[in-house]
Formats: sequence, structure tokens, C-alpha cells
Amino acid sequence: MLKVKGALKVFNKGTINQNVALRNVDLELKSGEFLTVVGSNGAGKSTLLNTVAGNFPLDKGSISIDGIDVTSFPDYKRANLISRVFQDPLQGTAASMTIAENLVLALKRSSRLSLKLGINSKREEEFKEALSILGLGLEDRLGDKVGLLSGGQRQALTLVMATLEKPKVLLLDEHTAALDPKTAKNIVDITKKLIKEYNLTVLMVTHDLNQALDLGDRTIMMDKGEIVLDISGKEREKMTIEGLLEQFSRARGSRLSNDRILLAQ
Amino acid sequence: MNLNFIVPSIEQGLVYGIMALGVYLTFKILDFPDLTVDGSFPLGGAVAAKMIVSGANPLVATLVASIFGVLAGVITGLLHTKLKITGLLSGILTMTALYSINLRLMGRANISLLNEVRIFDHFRGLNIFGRDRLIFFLITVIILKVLIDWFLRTELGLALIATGDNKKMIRSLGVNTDLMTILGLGLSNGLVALSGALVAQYQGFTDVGMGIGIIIIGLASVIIGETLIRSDKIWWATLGVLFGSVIYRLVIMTALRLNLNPNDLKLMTALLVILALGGPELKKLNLGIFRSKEGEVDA
Repeated sequence: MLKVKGALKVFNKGTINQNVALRNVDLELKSGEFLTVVGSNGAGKSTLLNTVAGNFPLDKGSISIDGIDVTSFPDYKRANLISRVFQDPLQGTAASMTIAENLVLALKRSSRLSLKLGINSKREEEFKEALSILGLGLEDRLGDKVGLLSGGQRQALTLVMATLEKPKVLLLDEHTAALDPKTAKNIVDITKKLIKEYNLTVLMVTHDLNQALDLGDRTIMMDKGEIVLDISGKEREKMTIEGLLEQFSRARGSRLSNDRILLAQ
Repeated sequence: MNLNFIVPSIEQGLVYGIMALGVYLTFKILDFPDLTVDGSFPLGGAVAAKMIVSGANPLVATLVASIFGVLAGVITGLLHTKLKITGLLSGILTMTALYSINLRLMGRANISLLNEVRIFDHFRGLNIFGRDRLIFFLITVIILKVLIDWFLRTELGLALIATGDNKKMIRSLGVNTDLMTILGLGLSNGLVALSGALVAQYQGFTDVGMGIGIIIIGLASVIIGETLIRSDKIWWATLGVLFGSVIYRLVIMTALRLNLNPNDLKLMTALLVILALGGPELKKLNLGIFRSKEGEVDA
């Protein structure tokens, strides 16, 4: 479903701040696979997600989604294949617009915008149904401005928006990191529910090692722009956080201080 | 005081209101400080006037003038999105270039239309209470307002609003924000040029300098409108802009009646906008002074 081949990304090339964020990364995601990506700050996990989303071009390598080579596509041209939930709950929605208006735009993610009225009664029914999965009562607030909602509610809405039109790949960018623990747990539950319901292919970046093992069916760990660990199946089921850290240090051939990752949580 | 200035004020408020609607689209909806307006307004007047004195139907001339306005907006949009020039500078560049273009189009600094057939002459049938112009402008403005309200509720219109609200989000939903910016600037300057074409015909002449400071008048109307009608509904906001424009004209006319020097008008308008935009900060400044005084007492 998603194929990243030989991805190389260097920031500030040729300057003193030169930073190789992705070092010939190869990654393949099968349809319906749920991958979690961990790694310390600057390991390249966000860069990986951003290159898949098309926020900046690769220096080398290619990306294809569902057999389509999207390497040269800018972000908005990939939106018919990919949907995305940002870390900052404010970034996934337009505050000055109503819940229904935001959902209209999400509904049109993979098709052309028309000069027909965005909201009609048929769509409103559709939106209500989609929102009712959340159990937050948002289905009764279609006409409310999104700016009135809490961070958690906005993130939940963003999740519904991301799955309203089934994407080929769903990108989750530490999407619970900015929320309080209780809200974060709710959002995780909603995420699980939606992914199961639509059988989505998912790439999720997270700082939380617990979450990384708890969610999904495959985990990769990145360091200095490389994938240093790739586990799934039985090997992953037996994996613990301690094991993960140990594997990490073995893979790198250097001892990793626990805090480096834990502090980043 | 003689009150027969009220009807002309309302007429002017309506015609300039079309320009204010354009300013509302860029400044409020698209969140783009577009100064093209100072050039596209006289551009509308220049194109319409030149065509009318050359014998064109004033209706056609007005329409063509609007299309030229759209083009001016598109150029600003291209400068900003393709050449990555800042929004403010893109508008100033187009506006400056338009000054020469307007002079070229007109062939001289001003053109009189007093002896020409103008657009309202086609609508003499609207002669209700002997106010055919007022009725013509009222109908035109209402049609435009309804069209704008409708457009901003369509899928395309919603994408335009979202472009002004959250570019990152709407790009992730597959919308080319560059195109949206160009579209918004085009529509806005189309309205502004239409307003310029109608103003030229209404006042009976066009002048290459008639755009100077027009953006501030547009902003003043938008701000007065916002103060009058506090609503986050677009339907109300556009109505507010039109009311704002009419009230601006009434205030100006009253001030002129009270012997205000017409040369001071732009200064007054600028001060009005500064007060309105800077009001919240001015209040804070005041508070700050009080606080430091309290601090001194405590010490």
C-alpha cells in the first residue's frame, strides 16, 4: 500500500547545521497494516511522516501509495490518497468554521470542489452518523463553530474528518501528545475504533513506547535517520518497553540511556 | 440643517460598498492585506470611461472593467504565490504598475462622462419616487451581496474561507491554497473595479488619482460594519459592510457640511481606522500606566 524506497532527506545541506534526517530509508506497508514509529527526538520519525505527507520533497528515493508514484506530488495532490491528524489539535480544523463546514471540506478530500452548496440535509445526516461514533454529542452541534470546542473534541473531530472518506493511508503524527492523559486515552480509543471499523492502513508516530506496543501490529524504531528495529507478529507480542530499549541499544551497538526516550514522552 | 444630502450619501455608500465587499473578501475572509485595491479601483473607472467615450454600451463597459479588475487581482496573486513576494508588497507592486497602465488606458489624467450615456440611463424604468439611481444601486448591491453570501456557502467558497483560516489543514484536505488565494484576490478586485466603474459613471468623470487611499475607506467601512453588527455569520457580516459604507458616507457628508476642509478627509479616515484597529491596544496601554502607578504606591 505504502512503499518508501531509498528515502534520503538532508536539512540545511552544505551548512554547519547540516542534518541527515532520513538515511536511505526503505519501508513497505501492506494494506490494512497498522505501523507505529518510535524514536528519540531528531531520530527522523516526523521527517518520515512529513515526506509521506508531501510537506517537503525528498533529496533521493521514491514514495508510492497504492501503486501510484507520488514522489513529485505536493501535499495537496496526495490528499486523495492520504489523510492526516496533526499533533496540535488546532491544526486539523478551521476554528472560524462550523463543525458541518469542516466536515464538508473533509468529505471533498478526494474529489473536486463544486459550486453546489456545501451543506445539505443528506450530508448533515451523514455527518451526524459519523460523529455519533465518538459519543461526544458533537452530532447535535453541527452548526457550532469549531473554535468553541476543546482540544480533545477538536482532535476527535479531526479523526472523523480524516476517515470520513476512507484514505489509502492514515498518518497519525503524535496525535495524542498535546492532550491531557484522560483525553488522550479517549482519543486512542476512538482511533482504535475508527481504524478497526474502516480497516485502515496506518502510520503512527509516537513518543509513547507503551502506546507504540499497545496499538497496531508492527513497530519500527528509528535513530539518526535510520530504521534500527522492525518487529511484528510473535516477536512484537512478547516485546516489553524494557525489551524495546534493550533491542535499541543492541541495534545501535551503544547503550542508550533510558531517560533519553523516557524524558521525551 | 438641510437634509437633502442624505440620498446622495446613501447612493455613494452603496456604490463604494461594492468596493468594501471586495476588501472584506481579502482582509477578512482570505486574511490577505491586499493593497491592489488602490490601483484596481481607478482601473475600473479608466476602462469603463475609455470604453464609454469610445461609444461602447455602458453595461458592457462596466462588465469589461470588472474583468480587468479580476486580472489585476490575479496578477497580485501570482506575484505572491508563484514568485513568493510578500502579500503586502505584491499588492503595492500591482497598484504602482496600474497607475501607469491607467494613464495609458485613459490617455490623460481624467475623462469626463457627463455628456455620455451611462449605465443608469438604461434603467430609467426604475424611476420609483424619482430615485432611479438609488433604486438601481440598491438592486445591484443586493444582488452582489446575495451572490457573495451564496458563493461563500458553496464547497469552493468554504475552501476559500478555510484557506484564510487554516492553510495547513485545508492543504491536507487536498486544496491548492495558491489557487484559492488567486481566486480570492481575483474576485475581490473584480468587485473593486466594478465599484470604480460605477463611481466614475455616478460622479460623471474618472480621475487617475481617484484610487488613492481607497483601501482605507474600504477598511473603515468593514470596521464600522463589524462594530454595528456583531455576528460571526457571513450573511450579517456582508450586510454590516454595506451599512458601514453608507454610514461612512453620511458621516463624511455631515462633516463636510460642518465646514471640514475636504483636504483633511483622508487624514480623518486614517485616524478613524487607526482608532478602530488600535483601540484594544490603546486600552491596554492605559491599564499599564495605572499598574505602574499602583506599583509605586506599594513600594
